[in-house]
Amino acid sequence: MKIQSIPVALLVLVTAPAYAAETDSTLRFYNRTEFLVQSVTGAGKAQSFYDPGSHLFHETDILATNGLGSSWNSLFNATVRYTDSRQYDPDNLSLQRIQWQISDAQTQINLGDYFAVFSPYAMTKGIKGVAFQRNFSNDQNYVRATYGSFDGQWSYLFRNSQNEPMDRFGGGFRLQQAGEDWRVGANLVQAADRFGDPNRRTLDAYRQILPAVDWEWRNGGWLVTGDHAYSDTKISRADGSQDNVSGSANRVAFRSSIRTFNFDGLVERVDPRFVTLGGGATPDRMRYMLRGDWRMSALWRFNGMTDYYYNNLDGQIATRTTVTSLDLGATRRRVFERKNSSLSVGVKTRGVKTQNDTTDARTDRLKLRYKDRYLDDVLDFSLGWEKTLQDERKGTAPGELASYLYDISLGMRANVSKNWLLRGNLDFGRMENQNPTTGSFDAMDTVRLALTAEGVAGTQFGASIDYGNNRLTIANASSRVDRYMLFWQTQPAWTGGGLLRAELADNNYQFDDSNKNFREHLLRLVLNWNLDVVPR
Amino acid sequence: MNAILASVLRFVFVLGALCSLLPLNAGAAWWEFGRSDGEPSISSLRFNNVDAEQRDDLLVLTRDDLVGGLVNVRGKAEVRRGDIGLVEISLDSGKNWASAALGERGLFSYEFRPQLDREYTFQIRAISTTGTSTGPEEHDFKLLVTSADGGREARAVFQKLLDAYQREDRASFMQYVSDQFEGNFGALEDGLSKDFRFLDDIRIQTQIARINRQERIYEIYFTYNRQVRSAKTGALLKDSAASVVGLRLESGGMKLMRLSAPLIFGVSEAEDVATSVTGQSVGQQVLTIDASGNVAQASQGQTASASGSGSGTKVLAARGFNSFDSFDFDTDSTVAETGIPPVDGDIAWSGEPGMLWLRNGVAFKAITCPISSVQTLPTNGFSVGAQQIVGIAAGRCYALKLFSGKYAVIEMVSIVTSGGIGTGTLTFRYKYQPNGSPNF
Repeated sequence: MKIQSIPVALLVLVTAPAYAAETDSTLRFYNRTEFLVQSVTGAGKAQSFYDPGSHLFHETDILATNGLGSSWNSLFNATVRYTDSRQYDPDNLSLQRIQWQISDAQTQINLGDYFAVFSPYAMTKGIKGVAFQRNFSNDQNYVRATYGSFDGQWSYLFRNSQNEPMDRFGGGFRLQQAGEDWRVGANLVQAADRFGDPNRRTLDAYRQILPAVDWEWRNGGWLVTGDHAYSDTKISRADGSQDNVSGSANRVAFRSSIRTFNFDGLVERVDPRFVTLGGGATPDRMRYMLRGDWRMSALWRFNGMTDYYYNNLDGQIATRTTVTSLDLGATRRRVFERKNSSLSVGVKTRGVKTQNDTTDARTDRLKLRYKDRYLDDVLDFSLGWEKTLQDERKGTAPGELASYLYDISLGMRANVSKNWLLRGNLDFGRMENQNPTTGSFDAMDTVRLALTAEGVAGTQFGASIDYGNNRLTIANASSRVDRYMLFWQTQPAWTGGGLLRAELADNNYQFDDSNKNFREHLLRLVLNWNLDVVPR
Repeated sequence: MNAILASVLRFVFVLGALCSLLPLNAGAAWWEFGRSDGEPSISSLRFNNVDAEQRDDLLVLTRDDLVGGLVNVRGKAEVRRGDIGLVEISLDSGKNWASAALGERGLFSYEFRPQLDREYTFQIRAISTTGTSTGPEEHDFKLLVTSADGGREARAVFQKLLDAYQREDRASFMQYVSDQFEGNFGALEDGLSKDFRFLDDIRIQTQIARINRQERIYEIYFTYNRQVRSAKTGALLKDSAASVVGLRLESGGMKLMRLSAPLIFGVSEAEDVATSVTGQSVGQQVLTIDASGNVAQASQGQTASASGSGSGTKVLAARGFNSFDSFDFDTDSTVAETGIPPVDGDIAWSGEPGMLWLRNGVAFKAITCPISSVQTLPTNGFSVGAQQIVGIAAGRCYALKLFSGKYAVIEMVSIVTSGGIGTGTLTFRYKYQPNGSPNF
């Protein structure tokens, strides 16, 4: 089913009252125009990410609001995109968003793009269709209904494009009741793939019903929430066979603040056969998570976290994989008697183990970070060090691998005159990864210098230099990437709150084999301009 | 459960060791080491609806957080002996102090109109009726009220994450990740480390289709074009799909809260990093990285991991002595091999008409054709340790138990040699079960 006429109808319905209304009406256009000139030189230029040449990219958001008489209001919002670069968008002209909402204090009707928020397991998804909400007394007590297409792009509804996924439609009802310290929601969602869609290719097609209940309870410093769902799903396999699967998902989470302690945690069990087409869940998982934070004094703060989960809940797969994570950390402020300093220490460990001993791997990590501020907060400084040890006892490549991470960051923020603020950053980073094949270390070095001058009227000048060096022992090869960037930006009044920006970038890729070298020269001009047709 | 017990014991042991290093004060409550009974404290601090207790050394508010352009600082000061007599607030690092309105039981409030995009150094001190003060260091942090609305801030932070990822700068990247990250936080760190180990020259271009807000969470729907170089082979790989990231406006600024598959960050640990799948991308060819660092393309499945497409037809080519293709079921990819047995793929054909090579650890057994009728495989009777299947021919079918413990079935369609032994093509149909079950 291709829906050809919806956007046209919406435009007619919405723009007419927008102009007709005499009061409380706005019609505003937000425009973003980018002009790009990309040139790539060098023997290896075919490896560049960029399409050489000049390209245009333009988006217009249309926002129209107006009163419809009595207590009803209308809001229309659409985004149209044009580009001549397939790297930005495969379509030259595309409709990115179109939505129309009419509402009064108790009722809301939506056509077009709508973000359907039910319970997390049931549906949290942008759809293209219709939605209705009726509040009983306030916006915490309501009934909500929606139905539409799950397609991500409007063009998928108009025509079959090469990258289009299988058509999927769905919707449902949500009834929510809430008191001062509680809330309960009942949800019923239905979703289905179009089995006969030629874009299905070799994919399985799904059809499902999913009832769910979610709740929340608050008391003192406690917040406890729950989400419980059951899915009944019919799967039509690519080879023609069919399967009916059903399963449940349950989650209870809490958050608490008691004096200087903060805790949060969750327990979750999702059946292997639980499927949600509109919500989010990781099937076949039992998870326990507890996290805590303790501000012991003005000087000391501690944090800890344990996360434990495993799969194979019904014993149907070959082996169970268990993941165990444990984090502990402490932060001491005012170290070395310095007012703005802090030192953080963290240890983390994460293990992955399978019951049949095909995998037994652990990552242990030790982190240190020192931060300080100097010269009346003009300068800030951060020094980080981290050691990671990956110990794979069983698996595809048993052995121990170490990696080291070093970073030093120096920041500056100073008012150089009444009208100009100068910001600067100098960052050094080094990552050393032990290579599983050679045993020696691959090294990545980065240096970044960025300077920006910001004027009170919105004008900015900036420049950045990035130097990166990559030495890979496995390929016995090294590469360098040097990036330079200059920009200028201003906010003239005629843009109506928009901006004008010019960016010039030069990326130079160099390899041991000079036949791979290439260099990218990029010019980007950006104009964001807004237009009020009916002033507020 | 042993693993849980071990974790808890480790937690308690390390916590105990850290606590033993602290200076204890006999007059303090047990949870407030270092503070005497007469010393006041700030037990609650909010800026409008934002809880400042959770921040680190920076508190970020957006224009949306202001009420009528104002910030209302309110909270509670406490002292175990005596009463709170005065609460003072400074916005300029202690140079000037203003008194907050003080209510019953230490409740206080103070209102001011912030200048947008100006960074304040906020301090607060509570003074008891006996003259003891908390000292300004109790709550001494930067306060920034950005002029950007939440959507623009989410867009800006998403770009910073992309920039840090493309620079392969994990430290900068993790600054923008929430402690409450919904996937496994450690898996994201491991995933980034592995991505940077196995990928080179990462380039990602995104186009944001829309941003949806639900309370303080901003979900960014986008499409991406990506190009990476495999550090292991030097090969360039590209993919293009749609995905979603969720960011949450926290007291320390906008932070990455959740990621949807197909992943653009932490690809190496997809199963433990992604918490949902972008339906629009199911079936799309996306990048995968296996435990050995092999970068490939595979079909995005209905679960977070990009698994093999489940079934299909493949062609393996043999190009002459020690130059032939192998097929990896886990990554749904064909890989060039330079010797037998194959080391990157599970099965390989070197051009010998009756022989199919197996990777070490792959077991096989002959089954009845066609594979479209195979529903469940018996899990015993596999030939273990054989490096090849001898006697393959068109119309014969085999079940494979892979090194990962997962099962696949293959059906030989045709074997064509050209120019003698060592060159030609082998075509086969297959079904693969990525969840490890013998049920197809």
